[in-house]
Amino acid sequence: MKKISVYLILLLIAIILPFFSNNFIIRFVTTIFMFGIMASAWNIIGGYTGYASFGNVVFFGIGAYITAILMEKGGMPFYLAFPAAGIGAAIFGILIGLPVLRLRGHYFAIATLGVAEAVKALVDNLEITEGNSGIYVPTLNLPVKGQYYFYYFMMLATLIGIILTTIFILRRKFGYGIIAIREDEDAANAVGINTTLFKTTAFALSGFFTGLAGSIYAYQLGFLKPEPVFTVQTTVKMIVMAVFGGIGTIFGPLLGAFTIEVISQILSNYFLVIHTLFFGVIVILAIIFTPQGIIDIVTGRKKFGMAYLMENIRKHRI
Amino acid sequence: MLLQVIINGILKGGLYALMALGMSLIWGVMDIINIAHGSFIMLGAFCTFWLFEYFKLDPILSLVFSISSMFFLGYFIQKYIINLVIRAVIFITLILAFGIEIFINNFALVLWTADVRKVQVPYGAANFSLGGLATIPFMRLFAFILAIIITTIFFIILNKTKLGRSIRATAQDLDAARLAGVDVAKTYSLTFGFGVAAAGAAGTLWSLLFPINPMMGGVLTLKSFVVVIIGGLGTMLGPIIGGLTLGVVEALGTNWFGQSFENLISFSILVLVLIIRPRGILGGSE
Amino acid sequence: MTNRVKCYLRVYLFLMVTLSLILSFPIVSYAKDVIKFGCAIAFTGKYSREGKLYVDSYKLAMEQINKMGGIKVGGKSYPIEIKFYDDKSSDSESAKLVEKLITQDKVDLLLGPYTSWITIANSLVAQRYKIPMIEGGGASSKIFSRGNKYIFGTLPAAGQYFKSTIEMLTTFKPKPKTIAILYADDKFNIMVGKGAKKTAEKLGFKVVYFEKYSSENTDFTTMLTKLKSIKPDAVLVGSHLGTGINLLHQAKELDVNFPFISLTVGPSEANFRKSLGKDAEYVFGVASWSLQMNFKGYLFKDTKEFIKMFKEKYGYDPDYHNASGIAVLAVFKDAIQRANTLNPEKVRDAIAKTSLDTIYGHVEFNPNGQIKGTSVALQIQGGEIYQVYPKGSRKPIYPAPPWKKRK
Repeated sequence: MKKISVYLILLLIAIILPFFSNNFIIRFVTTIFMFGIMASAWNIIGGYTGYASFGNVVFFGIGAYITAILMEKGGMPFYLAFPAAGIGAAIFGILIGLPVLRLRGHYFAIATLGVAEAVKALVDNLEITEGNSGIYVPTLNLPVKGQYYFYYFMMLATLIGIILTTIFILRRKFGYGIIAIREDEDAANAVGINTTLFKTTAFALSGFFTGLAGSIYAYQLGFLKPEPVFTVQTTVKMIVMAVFGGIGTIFGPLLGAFTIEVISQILSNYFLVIHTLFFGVIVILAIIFTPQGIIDIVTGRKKFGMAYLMENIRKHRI
Repeated sequence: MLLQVIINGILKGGLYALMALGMSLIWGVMDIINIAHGSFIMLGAFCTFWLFEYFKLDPILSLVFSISSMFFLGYFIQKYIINLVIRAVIFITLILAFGIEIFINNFALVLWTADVRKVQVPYGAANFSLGGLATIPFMRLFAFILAIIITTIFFIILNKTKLGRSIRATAQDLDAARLAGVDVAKTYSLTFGFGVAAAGAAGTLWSLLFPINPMMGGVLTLKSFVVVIIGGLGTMLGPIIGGLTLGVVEALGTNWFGQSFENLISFSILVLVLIIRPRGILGGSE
Repeated sequence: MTNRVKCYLRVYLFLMVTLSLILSFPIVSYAKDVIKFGCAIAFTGKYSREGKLYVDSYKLAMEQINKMGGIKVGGKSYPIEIKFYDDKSSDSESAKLVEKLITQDKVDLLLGPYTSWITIANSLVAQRYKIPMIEGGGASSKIFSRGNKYIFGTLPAAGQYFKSTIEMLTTFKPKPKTIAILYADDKFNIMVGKGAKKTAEKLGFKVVYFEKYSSENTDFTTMLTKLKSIKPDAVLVGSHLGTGINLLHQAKELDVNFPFISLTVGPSEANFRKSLGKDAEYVFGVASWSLQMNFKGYLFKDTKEFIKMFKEKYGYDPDYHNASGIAVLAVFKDAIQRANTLNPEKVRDAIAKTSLDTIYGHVEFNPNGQIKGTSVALQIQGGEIYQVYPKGSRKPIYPAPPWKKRK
């Protein structure tokens, strides 16, 4: 029970935070939520199902572009474009997932990466997306503070949505199914799990939430261009966050998103040019020393110390 | 004109093959996708550039330097960094390589700024005419031949030497190789060194043909993926076949659809090949 | 929960909260008697090279303004300060940082970033807070197409870039008849390409080849092979520095000869001439400004003095990016003094009414916020770049000799 009360307190903090902060903090936390959503969404396919998607950013881009096109070209309001973005991304996940999820390991990773790059190149060349010259998204007609509350709470709601969904599916047959696929796909198949259905659903679910995040992102930024919303860097960021926090755990990815965003923000605050260099070092160190994620340490399941760090290395080196 | 387009494609394919060679080797033997591959190409290119700028060393001679220095860099990166996580889940090594890429790129950026640079040699753009039918750029032909030479050297190393046998054994079954007395860790370091050295060679040629800057690596890594996938892993001929295929298809594709479709074409091929023939054109069945 | 768990949770939360607190307070606390400018621009990433051109200019202009005693508001002179952030060449990062500049660093006014699409993301934030931004690094008319009142640009409209060049073509003998236009697929160059096509057709040229290429491309062999068989009299290219160098190098490799070739971004930059060496000869360029121009300045005595000071400080020749960056701060100083207040609305209105002589030329804004004026044609002759039209210091050389006939 105490565990739940901790989460409730954190949630309460999240809800009242914007009323006591300036707009930059609100926007900054909104970004953390966004990466929290994306890392958690990646966690469903990459962490629980064991398929390391290297192209999850494609859902983000598709969600953002669906929002932009529906609102800018179709004159639709955001409350229609928002679910459409999620559903569109999920449908794309099914269509792409069916052939691509037959691949395993690195081949799956590279195939999804290829899909993301191909879609980027396609958006670059399409007329309706206004190609590489970029597309405007209508802006929200509210006072400044109101706008930021809106984006903040939309992101927060989506984040809560994905975390509840994750908790929910983990207690159903579906959750056991995808974990079985991660542990041994052939065995899972043998015991009668419809692996194709489960894998594709997990992929689509991951796409759905990433698409929603993309939709809010587009609305907040007000202008889209293919390169930044389809860049492989974003995928990598999701994975680094998920890994850093702890893959295959419910709150790990969010924790990773929070930690990494705060650290990189502070670094770029103090070091105008070399902050990215430090970021690279952090990624390397985090991967080497805590491949299980920091969630174990934060919740006290593992004791942090030299022994813990060395244990990881001993386990994975030759 | 179509002849010229196809020749352009073949020559570009040679460059692609050289670029992808190292990545294919590392991937095939160690099952690591080296995302930092493009950064190593960039380092090779800058190595050539600085040797030329300060010592007026001919870029073709500096091949020796870029290859050897990149070999040691690769050897030590594998030995002291990647080796620590080599047996973790696959995307751990992927992300680690990505961290290395961020580090190298930004290190280069801090050192050399984002200025665009180019090695200026008189023969850089030399060409000869093929009976008035087509023009052949000399350096691209050289890149093509070099790709074949390096591939052959790799082929000999892998198939005729003791080292090659241990590399192949490790690639097939790590534990069995270790039981048979192969120093697996050392084999891995050497393989990574060879792969990075090949990237260094590609970088030298790249600096002769194209302007260079610290951020150039990302695109090259993506192109190398495509080549490796098309060619298939596990054979030294893979990158050459993959490179030539991609080069020609891109040349014809941009000829018919327009220049801005180049990336769409290459990544669509990547996805299609993966779906239809996951092991590449030359790769065996699953 | 065990005690250990609580302990770790507490340590972690403490750490993160402290870090967040550090983050939420501006590190440098400004004294109130300076005028603060904010600028989120690329120090790292794809655009860090161009970003540096602007940062250098902004810094020099700041020094110069402070040397002159600062900016006079309400009878008192205030020195200026610029707060820089690195936007990592990303639009969302840049917008977030502009937000930070406004709400946390409490800057009075905003300086623009580099490149059109990042400028758009920034300008939307500036609009939200109604704080004027002048940018010197985005020329796409898309920036100014949404009726945003708070953004001003000192680069002329992209569609007009090749206007003077095409006019110059009509003066050549023999008069060129056919034109090929190639353009990169970014916002700026698409506008350049479309504008050039319109102008060329209006002036009676035949556009025989009109092709878009991807900004990421490094390979132009297919395009060049086509050009070789079409043989246009003149080639106009909407380019970037890297693609421009690539295009010319590969043209030489494939022995594709252009009697006339002009590029947008590239020729005016020292980096371009250094990278291509002799192969850069005879290449035409366009710029809103050139080294040979001489204007009476506002922050500097005249253009010559600016070039001298700039070279002394940074060791390279300024180009139009740099000059445009200087103009940004010159316009701000003038507008604030006329408005005689730091009230953003009033400063904005004063900027809109600007009529100022700067080392960059005479600055006046169109109602949409973009500067009035077009570009001039330049040509590289003997390793230096000269203005050749209109009324330049040198005559344009046309046609350029083929590659094989050059020494």
